[in-house]
Amino acid sequence: MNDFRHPSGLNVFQQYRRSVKVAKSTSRMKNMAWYQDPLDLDVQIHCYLKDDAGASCYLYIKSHNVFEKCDDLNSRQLEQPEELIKFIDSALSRDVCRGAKALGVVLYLADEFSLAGLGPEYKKPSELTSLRGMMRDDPKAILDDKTISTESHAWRLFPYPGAAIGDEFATAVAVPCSRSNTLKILRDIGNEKNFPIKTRALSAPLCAIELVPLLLDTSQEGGVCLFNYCTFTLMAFFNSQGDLAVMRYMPHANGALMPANIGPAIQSTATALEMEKPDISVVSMVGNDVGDLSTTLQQSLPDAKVGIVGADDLIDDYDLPVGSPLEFIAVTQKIDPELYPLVENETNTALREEGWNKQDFLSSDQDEIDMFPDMADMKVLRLGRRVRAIAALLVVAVFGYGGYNTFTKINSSIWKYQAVDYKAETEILTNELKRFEHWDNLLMDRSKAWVCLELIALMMPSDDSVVVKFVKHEVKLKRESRGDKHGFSKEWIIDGFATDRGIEHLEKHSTSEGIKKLFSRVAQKTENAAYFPDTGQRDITVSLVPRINPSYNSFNGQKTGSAFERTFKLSITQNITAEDEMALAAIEGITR
Amino acid sequence: MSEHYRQPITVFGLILPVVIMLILIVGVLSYTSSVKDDYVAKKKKYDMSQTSKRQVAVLRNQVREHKPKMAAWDNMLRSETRGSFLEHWKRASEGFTGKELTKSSRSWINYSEGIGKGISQPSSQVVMSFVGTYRAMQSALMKLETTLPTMQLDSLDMTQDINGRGVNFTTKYTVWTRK
Repeated sequence: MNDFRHPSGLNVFQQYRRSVKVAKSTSRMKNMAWYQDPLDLDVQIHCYLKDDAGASCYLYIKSHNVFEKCDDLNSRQLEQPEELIKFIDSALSRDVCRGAKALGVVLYLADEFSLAGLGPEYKKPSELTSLRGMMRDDPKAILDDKTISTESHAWRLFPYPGAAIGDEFATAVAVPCSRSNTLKILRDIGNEKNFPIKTRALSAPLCAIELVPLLLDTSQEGGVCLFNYCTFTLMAFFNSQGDLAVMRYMPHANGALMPANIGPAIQSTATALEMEKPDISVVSMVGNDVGDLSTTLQQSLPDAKVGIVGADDLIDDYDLPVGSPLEFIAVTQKIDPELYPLVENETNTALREEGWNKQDFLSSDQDEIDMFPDMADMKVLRLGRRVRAIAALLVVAVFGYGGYNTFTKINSSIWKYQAVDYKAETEILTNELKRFEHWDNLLMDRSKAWVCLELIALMMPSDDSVVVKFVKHEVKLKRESRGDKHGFSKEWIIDGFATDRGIEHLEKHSTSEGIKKLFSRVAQKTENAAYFPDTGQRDITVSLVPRINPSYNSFNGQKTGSAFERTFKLSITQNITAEDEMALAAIEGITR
Repeated sequence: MSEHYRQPITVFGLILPVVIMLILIVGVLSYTSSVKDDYVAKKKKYDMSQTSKRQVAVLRNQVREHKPKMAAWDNMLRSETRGSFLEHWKRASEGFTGKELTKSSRSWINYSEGIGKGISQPSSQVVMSFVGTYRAMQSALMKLETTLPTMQLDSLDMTQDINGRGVNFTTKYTVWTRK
């Protein structure tokens, strides 16, 4: 039952729930017509109440600027919701209303009108804006007459832009509140149907003021417009610029069509406004015959120029249905400033721009307004929905991304993998490998006697031109102070006898190229890598020292070597550095 | 904006859902990040383990590859003694007559004064003298050195035999031993 409780009686969550419910169950979020002025809606019904009998109703399609007469509403119908529902349904069922998203109902109150002066303390026109609000909210506070009723009448401020300095600059206008219930019923019908029905109650005489540019010619003296209604006549006095200087109203006594003593009343006000011969225009707003009124005025004010304005001509000019109220022109039609220059004067500009004459006298009270969230609330709700949708998408994306990532990671072989410790095995294998490398290094063919013998054999010629006396071969380790590898050197010292030809042969090996070639040949023949000369980490030096053989005897060569002319000493040294693959490793801590 | 609905809509319709969703998002991201961190740590362990596995496989292959050779070496090192050395020499010199090749002396010391000196591997040194022909000597030494790769020649002296029996050879070897 929270739906009928004022939001001030709900907690914040219930208030939010109501907002959401309204947004979901009504078109208030999507249909912005709920928050528009009824005069801005495309389909409008203008109801004119000239007396207690009822209202003349016209359908107005704003986009086509077309009025159509529709069924009138009598005073009984105006108070019965069922009749009003029928009326609304009937109006909206017309072809011109097909597809209507909202309905504006404009009530013209011409059955009663009254004016009252502001309190004496309010004399500053600059306070007009604040006074306007005060008049709407608490009229008693600013009215001179404190006995007025705010229950039975609605009060609004209305300015006199043409008032002289020091004169009355605004007045209070009152209309009866008797039709406020009708408008509430219409708004409720809209709520029930989830179809925006926006209402506005205008004071017909105030609307008529905007017609003055059509009625009045500017004269040096200014002018007076008399708007004759059923129960009263409104007198509007304009200065020479056509600006409204003051308004007076006179009720019609005992069902008369015009007020008594209107002539003196005009005379006194015109005199107060220093208007000696004002032009007087009489307009019949509700179809009364104003001929008598005009005659009476002319008699009372013989110097004045009194004229009657033909309402039918104006209605015809704006192509409105015959018998339409003239106020429709002021409210719905644009008056051409070239034809009617007074439209541009201060009064009409203020009326048009500030809407003084279109004030809603019977607007919804605050409690009724509070029952529904307004347009800004709906925008925030919509923004909230979008933000939530985006956030939800983000959440879904993050959940999806996170879930997928987590799922793939947790189900991956890596996640389930039980680490195996290879440390011990690695250590064992590494040690085993180091042991192999150690022994492989130690057991290399770096120094073999049979290869050494092969070197000597290949060095010596086969023609007995050389005889070897002795050979001394020695291998020496060259200890390195740094590092765990040691190079070594091999030295050959060969002594012997040789003929000249033998020396020539040995000399071939005693060059750098010759000895390397010999070593290379040994290496290839024996497949002993220690003899390869060109590894970059090895060098070979050779020296051959031939001498004359002192025991040479060409005739008796029986003594060893005596048959050879020469002796020789051949020295060969091969150095192998610690960087060479043949270097000896001395690795500590290996299991051997 | 009406005063009654503004705050509830802003709080319940906008701020609260966003905050809740942000909390959810932060929670999920935090959990995902935690799982990611765990995964990175596990991946690191996995990669390290796989690297170790590959390294071990490589090591196994290498060790397997070297195993026959190493086994032979181990067997040789384990079984070789001075007595077996003589047996090897006998086999190496088989086929040669005394005139072609004769061993004249042999001596052992339990350390090496040659290339084994200063090397951490234990070694012995053996000095042998022979008289024989050049080719017979070379052939016998080739057989012996091939059979016993632990032998590294430290020095070789070669002179003509004064008695004309051939050539005198004196060899000095460093022999790698286990102990």
